[in-house]
Amino acid sequence: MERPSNNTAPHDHLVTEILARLPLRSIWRFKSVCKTWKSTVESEYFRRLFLSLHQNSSRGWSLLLLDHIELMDLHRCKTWDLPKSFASYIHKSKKGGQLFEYQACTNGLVFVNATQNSSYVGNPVLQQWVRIPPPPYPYVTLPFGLVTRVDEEDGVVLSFKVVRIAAHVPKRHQSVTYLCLCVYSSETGVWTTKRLDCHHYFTNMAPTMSLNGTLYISPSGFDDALLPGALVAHDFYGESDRCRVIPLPDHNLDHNRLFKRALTCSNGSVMYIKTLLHDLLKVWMLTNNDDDDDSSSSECWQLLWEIRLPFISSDDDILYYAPLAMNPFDRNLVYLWSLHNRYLLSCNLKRQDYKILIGDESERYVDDDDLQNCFVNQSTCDKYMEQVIFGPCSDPIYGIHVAVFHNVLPRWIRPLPCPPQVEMIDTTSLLSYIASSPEQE
Amino acid sequence: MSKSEKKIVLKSLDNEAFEVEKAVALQSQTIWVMCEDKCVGNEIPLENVTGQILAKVIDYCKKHAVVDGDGDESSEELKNWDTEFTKNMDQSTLFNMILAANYLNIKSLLNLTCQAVADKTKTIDEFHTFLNIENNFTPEEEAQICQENLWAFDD
Repeated sequence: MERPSNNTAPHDHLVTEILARLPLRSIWRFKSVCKTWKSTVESEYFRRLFLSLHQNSSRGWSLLLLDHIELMDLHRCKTWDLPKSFASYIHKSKKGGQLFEYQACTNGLVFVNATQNSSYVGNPVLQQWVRIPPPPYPYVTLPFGLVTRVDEEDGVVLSFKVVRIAAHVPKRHQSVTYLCLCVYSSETGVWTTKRLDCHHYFTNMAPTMSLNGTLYISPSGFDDALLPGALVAHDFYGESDRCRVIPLPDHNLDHNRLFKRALTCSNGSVMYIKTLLHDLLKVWMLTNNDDDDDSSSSECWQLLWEIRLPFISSDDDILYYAPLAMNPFDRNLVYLWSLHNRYLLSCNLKRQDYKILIGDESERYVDDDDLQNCFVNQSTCDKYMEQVIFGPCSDPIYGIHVAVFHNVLPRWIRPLPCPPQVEMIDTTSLLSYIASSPEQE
Repeated sequence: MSKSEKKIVLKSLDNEAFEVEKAVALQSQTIWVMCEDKCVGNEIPLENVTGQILAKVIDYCKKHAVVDGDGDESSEELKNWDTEFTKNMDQSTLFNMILAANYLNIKSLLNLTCQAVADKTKTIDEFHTFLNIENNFTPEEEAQICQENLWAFDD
């Protein structure tokens, strides 16, 4: 390659312009090129330039199951350019099951539950982890959820809270459920206890969904004849100790139970999707009306879509389809699983068209809708859908099955928030770290 | 306005002369300022750009002068044209285009060429060679930075 002669030596600002157009992975690699580049990349000016140039760049995201096997993954995004899926950064090992379990995942952070009540929170891509000590209380706690506070501009996690549950006390006659929780904040590095009084009776619940600092709990119950038609939500970064009970839309209608539903999120809002008889698909968005007054807060479901699905033929049936999730950036895109055909459909509600996302071991290119390099884990989807969504526990009495996590990568990189007096663990394998740590026998 | 006033002559570093429509040339802020100043005649000397690069810059400006102001359909067409335009340029041409766009102050061309270099550059070595950058880290410092950002080097 011909080198530019000396009189055309690169101007620093041009180099900055070029660097800011690269994906984050390349930029972080190029920090080792020279001192000027390193300080350029680490400057606030550069962060802002990068964000403005990558406003419309695709961002990687994935749909993960509880055990962090991906259902689908879009990792070859222009913002990051990661070489592999998010799930493959979370090292899996068959032996790992006994030592720790993956519990939750949000905004690129993962919450791992290890033995002896201790937890780990980490950023698996950056390979940074922190060990959260066990709560200093004499009772057993179970992992409950992970909430985060993120920078509005770049989506990077600024702080997180680990939530564990100590007791779940349903009182049928008062129709109240008490949740006794332990909360660890990365800002203080301290555990506190919290009792939530939910004015809703439920005996069981699905894994929590985390969004904007709030945990959404989907109650279920075995013993009651009533369908658990509500969501329970609590904002762990809010002032109030209130636990909101949000009735699900379209629920008291006296229709039969032949429907499938999913709780998901898109563009920062909670979304509720339902497929029901007559090939109908309904999509609601949870909207907030309480900007001014907390006491009269009213969250309500706004019906965004009610359409007849275009792809169901006469010999097919809506009952063999289940909604899985929505696109995290586009409220027009719903993903549905077809039980008979064993494939995932991406359905654009606005255009009323759809695409079949065939699972492939190699990556697959789809031209638009942000689906470039969409990887669908066919066998996992197949197994999950057959056993869980279409399985024996799929009756609505068991509540909404929330076992699918959206993980969206942020727009920028900052180190994992490290609680005071906690040492950051830099490790490619959390498993080998835990196995070799002296606390394990 | 007479026909001659609508034309302008751009002269490259290696004395190659290009006669272009004024509307085409004025996409360059630098030329625009020069024309406003009236201190130059109809011939504008561009001391930092070779004829080979200037020809490409003029191609770009012609395309964008013609299509600008038309409907939405053409903006898509223009985008495709831009992609084709930079697709087969080698890194050295691209870099000279960046310098020319910078000197002539044509924002959209600067944006296009910077993006093209970014899209084509994958390895550190390419960048080193190309930008003639001297690594002023000690091997220890460099190793330390790589160690801290291992994830970015992982394939």
